Amino acid sequence: MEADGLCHLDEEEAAPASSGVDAGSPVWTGKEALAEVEAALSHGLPDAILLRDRYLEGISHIDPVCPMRESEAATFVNGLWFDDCYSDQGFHYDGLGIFEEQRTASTWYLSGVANFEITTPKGAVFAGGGEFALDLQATATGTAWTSKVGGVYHEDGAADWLGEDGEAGLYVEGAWNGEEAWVNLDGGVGFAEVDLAFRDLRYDESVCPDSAQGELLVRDPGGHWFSLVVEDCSGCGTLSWHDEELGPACFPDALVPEIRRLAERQGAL
Amino acid sequence: MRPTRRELLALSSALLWAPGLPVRAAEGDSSRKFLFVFAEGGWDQTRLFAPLFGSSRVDMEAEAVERVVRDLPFVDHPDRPSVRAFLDRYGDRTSFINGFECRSVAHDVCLRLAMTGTPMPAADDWPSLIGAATGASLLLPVIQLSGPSYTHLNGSVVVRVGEKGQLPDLISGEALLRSDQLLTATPVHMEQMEDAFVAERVLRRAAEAERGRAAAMLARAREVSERVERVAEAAEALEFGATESLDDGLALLIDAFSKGLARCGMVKHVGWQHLGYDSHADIPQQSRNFEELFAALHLAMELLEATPGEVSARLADEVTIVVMSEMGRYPLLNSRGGKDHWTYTSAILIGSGVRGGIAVGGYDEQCAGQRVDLSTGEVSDAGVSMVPDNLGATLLALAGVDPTEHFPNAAPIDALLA
Amino acid sequence: MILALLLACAEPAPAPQPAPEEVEEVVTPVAPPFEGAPLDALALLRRASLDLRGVLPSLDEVAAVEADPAAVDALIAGFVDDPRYERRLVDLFAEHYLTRVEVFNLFATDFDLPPEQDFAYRRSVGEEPLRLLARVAVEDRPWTDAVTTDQTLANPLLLSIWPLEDVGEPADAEGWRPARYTDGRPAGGAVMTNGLWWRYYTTANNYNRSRAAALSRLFLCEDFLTRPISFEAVAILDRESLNEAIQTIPACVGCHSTLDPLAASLFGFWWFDIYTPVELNSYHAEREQMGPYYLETEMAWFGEPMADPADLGPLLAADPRYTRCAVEVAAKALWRRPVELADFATVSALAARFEEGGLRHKALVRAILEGEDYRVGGLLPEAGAEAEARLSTRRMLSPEQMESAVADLTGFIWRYGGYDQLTNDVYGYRVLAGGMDGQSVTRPEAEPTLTQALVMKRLAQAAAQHVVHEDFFGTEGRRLLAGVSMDDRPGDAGFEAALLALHRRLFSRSPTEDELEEARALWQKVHDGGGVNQAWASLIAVLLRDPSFWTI
Repeated sequence: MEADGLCHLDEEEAAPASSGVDAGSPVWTGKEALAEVEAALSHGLPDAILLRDRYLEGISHIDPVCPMRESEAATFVNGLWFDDCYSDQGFHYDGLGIFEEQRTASTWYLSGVANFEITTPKGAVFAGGGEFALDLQATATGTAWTSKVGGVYHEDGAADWLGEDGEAGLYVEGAWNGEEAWVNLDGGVGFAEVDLAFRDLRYDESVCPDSAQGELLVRDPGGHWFSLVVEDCSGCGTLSWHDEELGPACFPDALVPEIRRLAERQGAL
Repeated sequence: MRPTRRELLALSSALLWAPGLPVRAAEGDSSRKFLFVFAEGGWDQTRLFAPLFGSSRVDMEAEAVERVVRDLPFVDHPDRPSVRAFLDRYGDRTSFINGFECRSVAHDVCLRLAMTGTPMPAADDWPSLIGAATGASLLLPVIQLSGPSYTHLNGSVVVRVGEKGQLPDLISGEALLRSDQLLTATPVHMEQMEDAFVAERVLRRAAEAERGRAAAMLARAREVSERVERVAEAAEALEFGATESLDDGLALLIDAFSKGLARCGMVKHVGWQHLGYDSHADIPQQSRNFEELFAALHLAMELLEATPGEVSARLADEVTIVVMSEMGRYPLLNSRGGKDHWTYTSAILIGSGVRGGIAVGGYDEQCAGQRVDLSTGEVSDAGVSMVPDNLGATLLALAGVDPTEHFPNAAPIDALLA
Repeated sequence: MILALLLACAEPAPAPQPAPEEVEEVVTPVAPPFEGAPLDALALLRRASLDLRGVLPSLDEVAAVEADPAAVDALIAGFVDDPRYERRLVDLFAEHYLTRVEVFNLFATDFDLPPEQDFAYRRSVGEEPLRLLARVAVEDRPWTDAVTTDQTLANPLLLSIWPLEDVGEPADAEGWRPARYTDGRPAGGAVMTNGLWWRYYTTANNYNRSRAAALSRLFLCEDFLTRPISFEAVAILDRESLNEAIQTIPACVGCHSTLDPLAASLFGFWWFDIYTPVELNSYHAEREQMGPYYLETEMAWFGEPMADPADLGPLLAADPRYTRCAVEVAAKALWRRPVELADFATVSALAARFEEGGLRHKALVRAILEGEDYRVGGLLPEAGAEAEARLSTRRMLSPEQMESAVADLTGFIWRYGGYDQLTNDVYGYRVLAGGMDGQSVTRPEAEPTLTQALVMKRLAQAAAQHVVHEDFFGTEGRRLLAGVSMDDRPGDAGFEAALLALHRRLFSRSPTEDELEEARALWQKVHDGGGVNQAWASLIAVLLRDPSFWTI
């Protein structure tokens, strides 16, 4: 309380505070953690189109009665199925799937809800639980989109994220103006060996063609997170673990190419 | 052919009719009974309450039109003659509460909010509050045949019949057959000896009990002991086991009211062919549900009118029917031909104490609830946004219970009180 | 992260306070005079046995206390070491944590479990966190373990459907044993269990706020919903607009300034579809950082920053409210009444002892057992209306106690299609018997009800029938009718001995002459019309329906 009887915010005291919890030590070093990110990114980040393509392939082996549709008018480009049956091609459909897609010359909207396992006659499983969506619109100069992948998905034998017992809660927003793209990532992606997260991680070619800015996080096996915040075009910043600064580090080399790949894939009408 | 319950009641009312001027249960009357009908799943307000024709933000049915009975606008449709017939006949006793906000779109949260006004686990619902305040001395103060029921402090006044009809089995003794072990029923005359012994023993324990909780508990045990003796007879008369349909459920509850056994009753409408109201697909199901619902309400009203009341000439003058659902439906169709959840919904009050022929509140062109002047019922920017608490406060006021004891921050809808 | 410390304030300066060194003593709360009278030793024995073991005291225990009433203290203190105590704790915890519900978002059929495992499934899921809490208590571990351990408890059913590994320690009689989740969830004891968050699930637009409120209510005894905040419902807003509203409108900030940061730490349990086994079964570590995205606020524990959800357990355990809440929960469970303001001093004293004793739950329970509020059996002549209303001088048996006590006495458990009829509401009578389902009924009945009396009647008939048949015709030894033959009649030594033992067994005291006479009369009357078996069955049934049996 000051002499004037008023309370004043003490700027020196208002410093960033950290958790008072003793988290011990990380299992990985910072270098190991970033190597895990690099390895994970080689499987590719999930996107709604990946799931859409796999889903449509999976339901291309139905027959008139298996699986049961919600309404007679339902097709599988707009509809719900719910069953536990074998189609005449020998595919096993177990669970529930809802999928909707509308595509025009200037828009592409798709959304799916998954709670199913689709098994091939040879026993390979494509399973999903969660939801995914893409909303892509043409703009005056290019396209703009938002997409979401949430849930747990798996496909036997897949070389990409689906083969990694993939989990995600990933929101991607982006735009492409014919020459340059920007992409924003928020959320997280789980691979077999590592979990990644992004907090307002932005790649803007018009600003920094070779680097992203924002926060990349990777979860240490001990349950706490490494965090790398980059604020400029260098691609490098300060790595911390459980709010403890560890020193300088850089985004893995695979990050920007993977973001570009996502942009090209999801930004194309 | 065995007469139906409705026929018996109609016959008995003809024999027992007391001549004289009909006396209506007064506003805020503790003898008023409440019949709750719950349309579980979330009904579509655009099928009845919200004639929002012309709004691009609302998908109305083809062939639906707006009609008005007295000052009660509603959505009429050729597939729902029972709704039209009901409102033509009973519109002067019916009012809608339109556009109150449930404050959630999750079924279980909305159910609790709709019935108690709060998501708190420690809350009692409207029937149990009313039953505890005005009907605790009755044999079956609140009968819950089906539908939601939330109790915390007032559980003792709610008589739950059970999902699988457990109560009639307990009363009759058939509960002993619901056992993996082979059990037999106690012969009736032995059971009577047992009951008499227990009644005497309970009397003695009550007399010996020291003051405080012990005395209260054993006094209650004594009361309960007397009720156990009476309930078998009541159960037989009410035919608890024969309530497969909404019609039967309503008739049973009306019967219980007429016999002075209950203050409140709750029954759920499971929808046409038991398909419910949660129509994320197949929105025409809503229409079939409303048609069936109002056909049942019509029969219920006829029964109430033909049945003598406790303090009035007709039970219809003592019973308030409350028809509600836990939420509404999104105004636009989804891609599956259904409608998803919506936080704004309506309720219906019919009968005793209700100023009929009006709709309180309303929906804007986006189907959101509008602010209401509770004293006039008119939409007003200076009014309040209604929430379930306002419905609860209104019901308590109708029951002669001071609503401010339970809802200090939510006023009753005075415009509805006759 | 900026921690907001102080608000600009412009009120006049408060009156000067004494400097800390000028304060001479810490004021200890003093309880008001206690206006209750204690139970006698036998009644206390009976109450404690049913509360802590779920069974009546044995005839030997009754005799020991009759001979030496002072022996009751040591006897009941030992009940917390009885193997049946753990099961009772699960029942008592269920009354507070409300996880033993009938319906979850997933059904047994979602896991291809057969119909006869339906009841076992429902109970296993709901009991998981309760079993963990009970195990921490009976193993005499510090209570902080309950929210910091990296283990849970699981039975074979849960081990078969959830990502759990058996840690190799022995199972108890019901098959529960320590287990560990294999999905990477952080250590957090009960707050990291599927059972807790399946019960308290969240929806797509709620973003774990209701879970945060549940966590606060259950583990801190601080219920956000009881705060007297009045506000107008806002119009429908998108997520960002809603976040802005609740972070700026004063009436909203009051709760959401602490609720939302807590909610932000629970996103490892965030599900994109709330009806999908793969979503609900596992923890989703990759979603841990989504709270700040959805809620636009950083994770924090009531103002203290949280780096990640792995901090949740330790922060909860370190919160003084956690300790006090544990005391209140135990007191409420054993006093069989809410903990009120008048109990502040008593609870403070118990909390102090709890802390001094290293937060051992058994010691806490023993301390509660020693207290006047637990042992109260009557009122002093000068007791006022407040004491009359508040003190729990007599309690009813819960459906769980009825089930276990009757099973112990007679060998009868009312089962139907795999369901225990007194502890379920799908086919059974749990709520009708005065119990709670954790969802619609959230408090056990404190007084008899019509349906409770009916359940008691049928239970008594069933159990009596069973025990008479088994005692006279079974092969496993007698339970209630030791030493009596089917030829014995009132007045015969065998009959009289059995009658006396029956009363002592059921009531934990000797019967009065009137009680014996009435019993003989009933027996004879029933025998004359129905035979020996029915006579004994009717007698046992009415004694089970006597308030002396079902009240403590």
